[in-house]
Amino acid sequence: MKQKQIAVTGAAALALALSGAWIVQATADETVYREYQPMLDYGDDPHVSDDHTGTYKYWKDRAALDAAMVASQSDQWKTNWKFMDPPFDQSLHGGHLAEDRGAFLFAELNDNGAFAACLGAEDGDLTGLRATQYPQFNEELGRIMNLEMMIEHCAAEKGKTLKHGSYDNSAISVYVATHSNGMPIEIDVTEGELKKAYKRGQERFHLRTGRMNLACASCHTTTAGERLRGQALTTHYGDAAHWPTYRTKDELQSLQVRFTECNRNSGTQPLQLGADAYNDIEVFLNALSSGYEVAVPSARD
Amino acid sequence: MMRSALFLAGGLTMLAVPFAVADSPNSTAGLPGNALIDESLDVKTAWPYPTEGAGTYELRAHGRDLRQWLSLSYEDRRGIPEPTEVAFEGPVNGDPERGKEIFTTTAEGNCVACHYVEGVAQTGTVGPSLADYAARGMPDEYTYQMLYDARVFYEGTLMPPFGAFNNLTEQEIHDVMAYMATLK
Repeated sequence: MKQKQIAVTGAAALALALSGAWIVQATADETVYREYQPMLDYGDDPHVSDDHTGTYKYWKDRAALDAAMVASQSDQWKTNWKFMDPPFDQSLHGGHLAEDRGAFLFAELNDNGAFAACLGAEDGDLTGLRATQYPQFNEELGRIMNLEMMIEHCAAEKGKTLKHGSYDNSAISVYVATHSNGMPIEIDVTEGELKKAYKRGQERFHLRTGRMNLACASCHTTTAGERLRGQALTTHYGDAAHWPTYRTKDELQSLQVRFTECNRNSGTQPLQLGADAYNDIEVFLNALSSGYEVAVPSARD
Repeated sequence: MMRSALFLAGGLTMLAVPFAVADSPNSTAGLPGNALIDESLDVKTAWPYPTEGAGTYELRAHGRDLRQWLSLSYEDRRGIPEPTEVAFEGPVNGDPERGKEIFTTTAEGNCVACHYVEGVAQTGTVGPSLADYAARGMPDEYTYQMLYDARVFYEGTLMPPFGAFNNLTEQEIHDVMAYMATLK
């Protein structure tokens, strides 16, 4: 039956959030009522193969997707859209154009090597940067930084405005991520600030918000495989490895730009890009892609 | 599940009248500072459109102002209404044509996102089909409570509490009920 619990601090509220669907959450000066989707058991050291929908075996190897499943209206969701990851179509979709644009902008910004160094590349080598270093807790800046935020930060040091979420920023992100193609995502959420972000991201992913009272988890846990306005819902495991992506409605989207669209579609006021909650959800989703290979440039409907 | 819900509906003894939500429909009280809004737009709830070949994005207006509802921001201290039982003040007094519009319009009820009805493209399967809803003979009291706040019957349901959340007005709920009465 319905349970109400009183939390007294932010930390306690988080602990309670993970324990039940119905809670009363206390903030500094008031007690408010909120609801959560029941938590999945994500564990402390998640791996993409932990996927709760049991579909991982179908999309584990992008080069070996079942063509009949991809073509099946009822079963296509089980391939987790990986048929639109490279090399699904070598004719140039918008993601490839973005990669070219990103390469051009990167070369321009990196005229003296400082831009690459600022992003964390050693000796200008971008290999593995996306797969193993982002998102990160940046000690110098004292906060979680994803690749797009760091591109904005490092471009600003060169006097160039490349806002997180802008086309040119995402284009550079795609270009940088191509140097991680085929490399599994490695993000250590077992300790330190990333562990905290991972736990916070879980809580945010399951918090019900907006005019429809829906959480991210409302669509991506128990209802995976069902249809929402004609679109099949997929698992949130293995979903962080192909961003930024080219949406076939002709829009290059970073992961957090996608969050603003997810929010809008489910009736929740979007946040500014780089908001702490978005950064934490990005860490959480990357952790659920641990061990899954980066693949860009990608496309999605 | 349906039977137990009906039994519960028949057995309700502590009915509340529909309460007026304290905040006005577009109240911004409690809106966190990192909400993505643009005061220059007609609808302040904004989204970032990444203009091709640019280092900035364009803010565009969303189809509905969402500022009054809880967001994901840590700065957002707001809560949500608790499950709310309501008494149905019949009869249904709605416009089925307007109800269909609410039922199928994304920025309004968007009921077809989850429910199947005949003659609408791009419906969903998250909720049960409502193609023959009127033929099932469900009491208006039940339908009204389901639209107003289904959490009273089904704890943890994904069905949005349209009335309790100030998402649809009393008249709009009646319009939807009038439309649903045609589904058979």
